[in-house]
Amino acid sequence: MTSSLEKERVRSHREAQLEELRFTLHLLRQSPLVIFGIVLIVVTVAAGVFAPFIAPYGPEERQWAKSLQPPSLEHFFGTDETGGDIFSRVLWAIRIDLGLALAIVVGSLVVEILIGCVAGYFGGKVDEALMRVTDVFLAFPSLILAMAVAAALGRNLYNLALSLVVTGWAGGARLVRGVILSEREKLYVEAARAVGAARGRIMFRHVLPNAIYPLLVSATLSLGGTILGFAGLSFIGFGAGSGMAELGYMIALGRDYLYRFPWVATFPGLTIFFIVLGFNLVGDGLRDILDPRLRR
Amino acid sequence: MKLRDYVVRRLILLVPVMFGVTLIAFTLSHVIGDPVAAYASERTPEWQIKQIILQKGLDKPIYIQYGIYVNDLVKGDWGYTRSVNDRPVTEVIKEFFPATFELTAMSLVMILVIAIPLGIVSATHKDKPVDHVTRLFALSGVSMPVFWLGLLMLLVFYYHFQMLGLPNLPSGARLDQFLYPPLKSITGFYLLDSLIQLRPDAFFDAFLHLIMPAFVLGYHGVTVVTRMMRSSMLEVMRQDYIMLARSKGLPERIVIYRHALKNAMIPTVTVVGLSFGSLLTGAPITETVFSWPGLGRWAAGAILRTDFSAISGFAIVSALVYVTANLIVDLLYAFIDPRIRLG
Repeated sequence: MTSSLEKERVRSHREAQLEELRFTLHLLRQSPLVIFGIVLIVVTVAAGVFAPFIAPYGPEERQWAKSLQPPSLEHFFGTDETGGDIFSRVLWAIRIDLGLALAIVVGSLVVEILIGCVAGYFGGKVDEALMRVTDVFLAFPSLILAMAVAAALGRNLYNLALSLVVTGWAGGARLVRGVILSEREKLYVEAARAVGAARGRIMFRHVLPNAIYPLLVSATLSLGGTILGFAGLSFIGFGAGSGMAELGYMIALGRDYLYRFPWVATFPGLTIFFIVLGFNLVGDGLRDILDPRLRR
Repeated sequence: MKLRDYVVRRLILLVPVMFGVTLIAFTLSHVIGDPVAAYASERTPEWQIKQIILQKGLDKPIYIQYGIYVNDLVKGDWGYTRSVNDRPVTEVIKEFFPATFELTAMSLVMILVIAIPLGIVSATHKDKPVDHVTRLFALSGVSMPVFWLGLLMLLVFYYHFQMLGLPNLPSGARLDQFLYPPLKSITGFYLLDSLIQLRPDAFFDAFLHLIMPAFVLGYHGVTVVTRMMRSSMLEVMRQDYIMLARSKGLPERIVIYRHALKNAMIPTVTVVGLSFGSLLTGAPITETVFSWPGLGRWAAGAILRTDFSAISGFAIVSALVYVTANLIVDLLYAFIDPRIRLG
């Protein structure tokens, strides 16, 4: 008898959640800018995923006789100084940039949640110590630290991504801590404690699911910034090795031919711009919608 | 709490932060990098290297090495940088700092001059064409790779304008090298130097050289501050006291600039302060694009050449600037909003 009642309650809770989600999607659909953002993301992600099937040439395929040709029907974005087809290289590069940016954001999110939860939940000395560490990471110029870590680990794309995780968690951890601090004082936490739930269980089963929304929004927003940071470091020489199809590095190559062959640097940059714009539009829309003051 | 007590307390709180920063810098230069490299080159004979190791205590346990490192920092011995002819790091920082400071200050001015009016106009004309254009401008700023924007600006304002015989924006240096008579460097800040020496031509030239790099460095900050200004202005305009001011019959201009603006500035000041920190972080990339002879370009080059004493020097300087900027922001709060008690 009780178990069926229990089920009833659980189902209605889930339904409420579904309804909430449906409402969010409904609001999202009403904003043309968000739709545009979603289209940009879908197109670029598809371009990256299906690059092996769409790209007319391989990522490092060269036609030396056809170097530095302007955009044409045969080469949509023109060719670079070694005769690589820039359109194909851009498609292949999206795979690398988007994939690694996603890995960086997920990696940072894990670190942020762990540190923020521990600090916010235990409070006191643990909190104080962790926040001082966070202060240091915030005060240290993150790009410089990332460069130094990447240089120390050895210059390649994966180390660059790892270095961005190592240096990028501080701001997010602050955010998580703040959210946890405010959740911790709520009645349901006290109720769970009264029932005798263990600290870890309260943290990850009860508090975290309630705190996850703002974290996901900030992660979406940071994906755009991460792509920019990653490409920027790659541009000044960290990360991609010679000849690789990576957007920041391709712009760096185009820099030498900027005045006479501007398309070499222009198209990879434009690609970065549209990917990041897509994520920022959706992130902005999400933030507006999840803001309860605007909601009803 | 008195202002002086507050400042003292904040300065004491800086100690653990700077301890952490030096610890990271130490780890980079002594654990990951080779500490001898800061004092030796490839041509240094073996016996001299041994001498350096003994002199600098590099054979001692690591915590003693850290003590020596901090002691040297305090005394002003920051090692030698391979990237600039093995010159002392402190000397190089002194030489490059004015260039970077002038650039970041100019960017900050651009942020204030462009972003705050844009944010106000955007908020007071919500959902009008001006608002849409502003939001688009802001959104593309956050989405654009700045180094790419820099290259595009070079292509248009430097190369194409020159090709067309139009007045173009110069790049690649801080002053025209054919400027005659050459500007004597007194403070290292060229805008200031030219004012002191009453050289309007040099001032104008230095200003022109600053425009593109400062805009590229500051563009991201401009967009962030515009968005912040817009949303906090909208928030304030919804308050009751604004309605009261309007119902008293005050002109809209006074309502906006006297009553709304001051309160809307509070969150904006935070963001401006934070963006000053990010300006320094962005300096390596922007300075590389424009070949700007500053700290950032030096640091980026140094890292590529694993010149760790340079990296540790740059990191410590930028951390110091960053925490100072934060302190100033917190003091500004109390100035703008008397309700905020320092403490």
